[in-house]
Amino acid sequence: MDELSFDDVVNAHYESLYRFALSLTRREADACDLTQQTFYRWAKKGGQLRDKSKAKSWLFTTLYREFLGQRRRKDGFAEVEISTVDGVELQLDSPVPESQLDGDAALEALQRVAEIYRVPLTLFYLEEHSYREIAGILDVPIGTVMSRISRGRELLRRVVLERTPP
Amino acid sequence: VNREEARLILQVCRPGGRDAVDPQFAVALALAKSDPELAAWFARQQKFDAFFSGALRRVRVPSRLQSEILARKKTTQPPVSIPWQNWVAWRSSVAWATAAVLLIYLGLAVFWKQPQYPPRFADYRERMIQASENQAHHLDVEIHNVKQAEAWLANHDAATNFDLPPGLRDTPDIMGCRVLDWRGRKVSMLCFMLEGSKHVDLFVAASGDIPDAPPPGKPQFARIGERMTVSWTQNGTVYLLTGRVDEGFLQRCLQPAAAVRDIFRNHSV
Repeated sequence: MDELSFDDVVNAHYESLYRFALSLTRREADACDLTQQTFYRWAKKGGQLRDKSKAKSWLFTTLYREFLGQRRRKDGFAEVEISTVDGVELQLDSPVPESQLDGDAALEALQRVAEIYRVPLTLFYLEEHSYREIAGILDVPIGTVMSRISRGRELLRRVVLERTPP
Repeated sequence: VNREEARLILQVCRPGGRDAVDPQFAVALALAKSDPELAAWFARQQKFDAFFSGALRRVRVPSRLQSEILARKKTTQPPVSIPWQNWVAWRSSVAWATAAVLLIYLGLAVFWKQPQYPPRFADYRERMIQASENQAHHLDVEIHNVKQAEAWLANHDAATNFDLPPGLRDTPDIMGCRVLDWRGRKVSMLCFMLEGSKHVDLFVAASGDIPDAPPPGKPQFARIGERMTVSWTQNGTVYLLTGRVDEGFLQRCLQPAAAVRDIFRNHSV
């Protein structure tokens, strides 16, 4: 690594990677393993990345693929990317809760949203990635990311407002 | 850019102005400045996004994680290759390959000696439950409209002569569909996310493909593990509706849409 030491990369990204992993696996131990495995891969292959500014996207992409690979091995199902068709969008415009939501409650709320929305939503709310980067990490078209974030947000609002009415 | 296009763009704009430099956002943001209604909508959106981002940042990260990652790196050294290790590795890989070939032969022999059972409804239900549980490949296509789903299934030569139960007929909460293969026959799957989080899948097949399917007019409810299922036959078509929900919820899905709207109303925000 030229500009970035391993420690720098870990310090900069381990927290958000862990939170992303936790939203995927739902278990602290599994999320820790997934985060460690991702940095292990970075230690082995990160040096091959020419553009070091893309380290963050590389890490999130690797973590997500590692998660899918683990689940595929466990479930025995092949993963096939789904295509999208524009459909009816929810038109909710709900108020924003005034009370604070703690981290566990936020995760719990996310878990109640279907995975196809939860994954891009988590990446979006971690505020680490633009929608273009999220499309790259998930390997789906930009329009798909936009519609999933939009619909996912409304589903999430419903869940959050059930917990913390305005 | 009109108001609707601006909304589409701004809905993926992160709070805190981090995306303001993106030219696409700049145009939409400029429109928001001159359109009070759009500005108000965007402000509410950003407020919720900031609210939820803040909550997500409060997810506790285990204190030991950072030190464990750094410690693991220090103990990760490239393996030293010496000749006898290569020999052992080669012998090991040959042994694995031989074992794999033997296992394949054994598996094929067992398979060919297996009697070919006639199609059974219980097997069908089990296979469809597996598909319903499969999150890695759950849908072939995302569609949020029943008519579009029917059109997509028709384009993929799957059954579309089905009559959806009243509670699912006009719901906007359809998520998509998939075409499955069961013993060489096509099965249509429609996925619904009701009340925001209650996931149910409806499987549709020709009744002739499953001889011991429930008789017409008699829906059968059955709990399989943590899942509830209801199956029924109507006009030569077998329906199977399943989800991690209770029997009462599935019963309501079979009721007229008004009853389901009451469910939504009771849960609406």
